[in-house]
Amino acid sequence: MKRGTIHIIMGLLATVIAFVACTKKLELPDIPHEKKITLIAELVANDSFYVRAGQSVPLTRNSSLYFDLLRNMKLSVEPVGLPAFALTEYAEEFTGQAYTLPFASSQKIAPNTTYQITAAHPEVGTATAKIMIPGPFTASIIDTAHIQYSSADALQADITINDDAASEHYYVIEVLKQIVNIRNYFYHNNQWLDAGIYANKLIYDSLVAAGVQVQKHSDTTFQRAYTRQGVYSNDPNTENVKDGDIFAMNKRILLKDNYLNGQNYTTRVIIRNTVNEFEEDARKGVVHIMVKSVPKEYFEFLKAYEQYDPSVGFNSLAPPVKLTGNVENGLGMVGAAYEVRFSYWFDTWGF
Amino acid sequence: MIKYILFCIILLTCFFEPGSCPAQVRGWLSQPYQPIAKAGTVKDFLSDMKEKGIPLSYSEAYIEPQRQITMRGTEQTVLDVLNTLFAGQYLVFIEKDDKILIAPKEQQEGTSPRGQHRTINGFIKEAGSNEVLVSASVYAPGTPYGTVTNSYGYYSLVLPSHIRTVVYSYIGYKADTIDLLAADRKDVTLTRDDVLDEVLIAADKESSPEHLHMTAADIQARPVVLGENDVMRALQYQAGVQAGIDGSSQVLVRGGDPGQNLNLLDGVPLYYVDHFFGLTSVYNSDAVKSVDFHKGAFPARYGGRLSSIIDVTTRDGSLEKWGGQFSMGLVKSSLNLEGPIIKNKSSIMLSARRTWVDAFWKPFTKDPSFNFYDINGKANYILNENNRLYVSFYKGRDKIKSKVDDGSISTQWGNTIGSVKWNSVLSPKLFVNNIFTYSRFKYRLDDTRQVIQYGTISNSSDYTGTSTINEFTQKIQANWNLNASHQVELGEKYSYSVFIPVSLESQSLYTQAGLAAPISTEFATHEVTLFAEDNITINEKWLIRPGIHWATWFNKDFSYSALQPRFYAAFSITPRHVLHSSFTQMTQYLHLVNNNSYGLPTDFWIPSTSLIEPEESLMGTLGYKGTPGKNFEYNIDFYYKDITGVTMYNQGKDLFDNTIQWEDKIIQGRGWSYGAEVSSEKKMGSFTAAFAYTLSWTWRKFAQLNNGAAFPYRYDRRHNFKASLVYQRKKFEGAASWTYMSGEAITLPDQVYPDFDRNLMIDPGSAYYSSNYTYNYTGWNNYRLPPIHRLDLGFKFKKQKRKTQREWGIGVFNAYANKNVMLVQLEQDPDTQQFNLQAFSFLQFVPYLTYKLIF
Repeated sequence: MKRGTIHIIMGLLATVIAFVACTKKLELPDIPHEKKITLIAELVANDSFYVRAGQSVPLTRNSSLYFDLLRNMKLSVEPVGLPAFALTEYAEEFTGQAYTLPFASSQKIAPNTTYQITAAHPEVGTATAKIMIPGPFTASIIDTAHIQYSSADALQADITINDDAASEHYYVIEVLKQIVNIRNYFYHNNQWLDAGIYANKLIYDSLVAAGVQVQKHSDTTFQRAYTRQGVYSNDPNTENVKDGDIFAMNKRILLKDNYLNGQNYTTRVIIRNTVNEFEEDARKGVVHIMVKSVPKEYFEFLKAYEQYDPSVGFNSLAPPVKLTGNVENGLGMVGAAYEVRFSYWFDTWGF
Repeated sequence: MIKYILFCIILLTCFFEPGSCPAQVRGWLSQPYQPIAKAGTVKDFLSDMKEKGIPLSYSEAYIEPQRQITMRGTEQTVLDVLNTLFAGQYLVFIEKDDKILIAPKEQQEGTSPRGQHRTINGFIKEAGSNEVLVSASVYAPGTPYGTVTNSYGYYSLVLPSHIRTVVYSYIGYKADTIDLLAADRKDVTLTRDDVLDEVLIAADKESSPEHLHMTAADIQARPVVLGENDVMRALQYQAGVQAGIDGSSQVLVRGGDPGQNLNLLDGVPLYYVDHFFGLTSVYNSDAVKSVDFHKGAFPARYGGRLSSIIDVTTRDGSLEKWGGQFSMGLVKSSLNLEGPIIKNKSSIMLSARRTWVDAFWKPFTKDPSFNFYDINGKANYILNENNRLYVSFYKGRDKIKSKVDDGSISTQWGNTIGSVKWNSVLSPKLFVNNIFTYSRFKYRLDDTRQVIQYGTISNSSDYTGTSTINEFTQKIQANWNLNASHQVELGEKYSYSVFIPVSLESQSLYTQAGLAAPISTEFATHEVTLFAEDNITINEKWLIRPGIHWATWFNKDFSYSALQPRFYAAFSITPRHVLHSSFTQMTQYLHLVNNNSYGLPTDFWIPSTSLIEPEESLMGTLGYKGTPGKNFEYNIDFYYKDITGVTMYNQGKDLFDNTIQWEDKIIQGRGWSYGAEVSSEKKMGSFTAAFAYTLSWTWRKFAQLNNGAAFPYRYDRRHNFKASLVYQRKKFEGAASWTYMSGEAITLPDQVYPDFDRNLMIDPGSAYYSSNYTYNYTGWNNYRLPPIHRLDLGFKFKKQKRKTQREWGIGVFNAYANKNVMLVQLEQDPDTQQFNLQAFSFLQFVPYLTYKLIF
């Protein structure tokens, strides 16, 4: 057989192999998974109650990824040893993206108190979650510095946590940017005009062009909406570094009590995307560095949530990460925290 | 329970071979037999008897094979014909071990004065090359006395002094029967037999189904993926062995994982045994002489792994003439050269192979690029009749490079090993082997990508990750043939190993932020091993092999020791029906952490430390081996294995995530496996039919997974069945094999619920990928993929030329193109949002073509 012929045969065989890989659909198991009530919340000491409730989608044959909002649900909160009270459902703009309904109460969440949240639905059943709100602690930011980090501005913060030796604590450091609604006004013809209106803005620009000193002010309204700021740590005592990558951004930095041992413990975090990243007013806000003491079960949930990578979805090669919540007969997590918050204003607004 | 098991064994025995029950065996000499012709040579008549299934054993030295004989015409039975053939000769015909032994009369009449023995010893070699043969048999026919050669072709056998005849045999070679004269040193050469004869090794209670010896020819007789004959794939045909992922060359034995196999190349441990994503193993089949595979009843000399021993011996190189072979397949080509440096004194073997498929696609695309190579070298020098020196070397490497963003990711990994061995026959009864070995595994990842977001490594300069093992070992092993009843093996081993399980170095801007990656430090360990074992032939019925293996693993921070008893017992119900049982304890100080079995370089070895405990296993087996007829044997085995310290990544973790905290990435648990194995092989002229079936259950239990409850192992395949039919002639070989395996167990989510952060009104911002929902997992490995089955076909066409032999091989893997699932992914239909489980199948109707030139 001539060499050229061999090459042609080899080439044809390789081509055949390349084209034979194919896919087929497998049926999901036809087992009667029932929808479950889903409760999600983080109850923060001294804040008011805010719990979101919805339902899950069972992954079974012919099921679709469509979250129906669960109407006619009743939620109540029972502080241990005290009478229960109801949480009230209300309407808000985030329902569509969260697939849950908000329930709230103006009552304050007390530290060192255990609450049981009960959600009842006439068709889906009853789910409960019990959580203890941690007691007070103190923390401080002892140093901050602006640094250049991966070609971007970043904030480096050294945080000291004053750990109480008497009891076991689990700490979480999280950085969120709270979005602020900004409305800019200028004073003209004895009235304050909204500069967000195009016609008014033209007037303002003409005044400025004419050299007129214009009196102005901005109104700000804080939204209950946040943008996460990625956090880095190289502290080997953090669960993030133990579990993960010192190069990877974290949602939350997680510290166990056994490394603090009742001492004043200082850890360093690097916060990205904090300074003037967005020009438009709609993305401006205040950056909160939050140091939280949380119960153990919530800490473990957050630790797994840190590992959970939603971009992977599900495939049989990726090892699954199980998130263990505290909702009995349901899904989700009702977390709790005692929070020490430090707020920084990096964005500037006005016109 | 025991009664029930015995009942089952007897029932199965009768089922498989109704005529094989001992009570039903009839005498061969009284069997009716009509001679093929009135006249012919002695050899003609004997050959005809053998073809008709009459088992004869004799030496041509005393039968005068070319003598012309004319039958009387009154012969009715085998005995009648033999009496005619050998009338007037001083020969006897004895039925022993269910065959007819034709032997000189005086040999059988003599008896030894009580206690008088002689020790015969020597090397068994291949005629033409003088290369030693491993696991060749030496036995005195009709007696319980026999042994096999060790890894260096040496045997020593103590016999009562009246025994005058021994048979030397090896599969694929013509057996030779030799009269024992005055000299006790017998270096024997066996001639290769192209057409397999009816050579029957004595019913052999020493070699249990727990041990398999394979020659290069056995390995090359199987149809394979892309024509890559491979040691590991040949082992997958054994009962109790499975591939893990279909199409991979990985070997998983009795519920163990790939890291629990001790892979030895000329006695040196290999840490990474896959090339090309598991398409083939690092063992170059062109360089392999033989493989000894143990899946239970582990000899005391082995230790350090729990599930199996894969001991590969490479060719020494011909001491007589230069030759070699060149082979080429779809993926790689290889060249093997061997020959004498000093004739009959010293030889060398060199073998190299490399992928060429990357060269094939290079004109079309240079990204990604992939290749592997390996080089085997071995030299030996016969110092004198009793001393021999071996030097061997191996280096293999895989490399993948892919352009990503403005940079590239390049990964390479491989083993480098070297050894020096000095064999010494100190006395006919004592063989000593001194070994010095070095084994190195290195993995290297070079990442020069510029900026990567979403939480993965982001850098602006070189980033390098490595994982290395360096192991130095000194070992002394002695075979001491104490007397006719005791064959003792003992030895010691000392190893010094230096690990860097993972290391990461970066010069990126992280340094400016004070976040430079700490560089992992070396982790050194010492291991000392002592072992002793006695192969005791109690009488014709009983053989036992008690052994002990002690190992200690330590450094300045910790110390582990394990006394590991080994016991094997065999009872011959009749010479052809053997019951055997074993109990072994094994300890493993190294752990392979992996997330899958694709043979990807994402699996890393980590040592036992003060935080990571050794893995230990206890295994018991009970089996039955029957050789009821000519060239037919079957085995039934039951096993139970319990493993502690099973190691895996904690969920969602990776060793490269953090190089200094690697011990924290690991969780340890328990595993257990139990099952039954049935296998059989029957030779019918040029055909060999075989099957192996395994019924097994395998479990894992980790406190951190599945709420601490036991769950099925991913490769818990309830049924595993393989059947093969091989046809072998001088010019043509054909093989067909059919495989069926139950589907693997995977963890499938059972619910989807709204995402946590989204419900706390936290937008992920630009830093993260986020989903609006989260998968909920309830049970671990709760879903079974469809079963795997396929038919593989392979054919070889051989042509002998004057000085060379040419072979063309063609075949097809998965001939009926069954879509065997290798990977599944959960997807939503974009229109209906309905969930689909998308299954991917890659190996359907994969043809191959190979060429080999032997010169």
